[in-house]
Amino acid sequence: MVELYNIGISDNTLKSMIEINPEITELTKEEIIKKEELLKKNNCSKTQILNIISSNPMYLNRENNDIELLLNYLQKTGFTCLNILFDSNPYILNLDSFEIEKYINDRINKGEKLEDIVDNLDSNPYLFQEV
Amino acid sequence: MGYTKEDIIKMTKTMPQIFCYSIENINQKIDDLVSLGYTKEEVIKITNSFSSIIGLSIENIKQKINFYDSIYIHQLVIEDSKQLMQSISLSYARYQYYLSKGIKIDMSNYHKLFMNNKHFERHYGITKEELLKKYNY
Repeated sequence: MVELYNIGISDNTLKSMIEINPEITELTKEEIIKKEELLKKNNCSKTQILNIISSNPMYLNRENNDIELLLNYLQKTGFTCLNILFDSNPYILNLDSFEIEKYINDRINKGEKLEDIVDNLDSNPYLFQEV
Repeated sequence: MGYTKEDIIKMTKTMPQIFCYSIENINQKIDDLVSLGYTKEEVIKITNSFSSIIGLSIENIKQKINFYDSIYIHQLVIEDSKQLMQSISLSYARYQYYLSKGIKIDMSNYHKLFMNNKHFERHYGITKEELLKKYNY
């Protein structure tokens, strides 16, 4: 939990985070650092990492493999600047790649083009809540 | 707290995680927003339009509000709360880009900060990546 203070999280915010995800009290320093590294790999700044983790404590519990699958899928599909995407809507990191894939395919089947769907989601990250 | 039954239904549909928060936690978030210069009524309006703000940390919210205050569009937070979702890095980069072109952003044209990415690129001939690299927050 010391690592969370190192990120810049305040006492009040940590209290909120534990309410949403009590399991974060059991996480090791290495587990938290690994989650930070996944974000750094996608060009997240220190501030963006603070924003993402403090607003979405569930991210800390996700399996690293699932996060990597999500990141790879988003990049392969055409999303760029993932740091901006996650800073805008940190909850995207809680989704699985297959969920987003299904959502996108459903829209393609209704006649939309992939690049338009990607642009729509990228420009309006709250739409990921429809997934 | 000041929310109607309809407000609560709408908020919980948009943000079911709200059920995990204690009343104390939500009250703290409302107090935090009031401390940033909004009346309680304005905070109710903000959280009704953009329920996800309840889930954002106060560090995150402060950063966004401070930025929009610094460019004199404080009212944006009340009148078009959903725009708070956009990353400040992108808002800053676009703001600086417009300044470099002699375009001053105010409450009459703030939508320019939140333009669809493809539209911005087509209109101004600069990609999001180039913009963020040039104007790094």
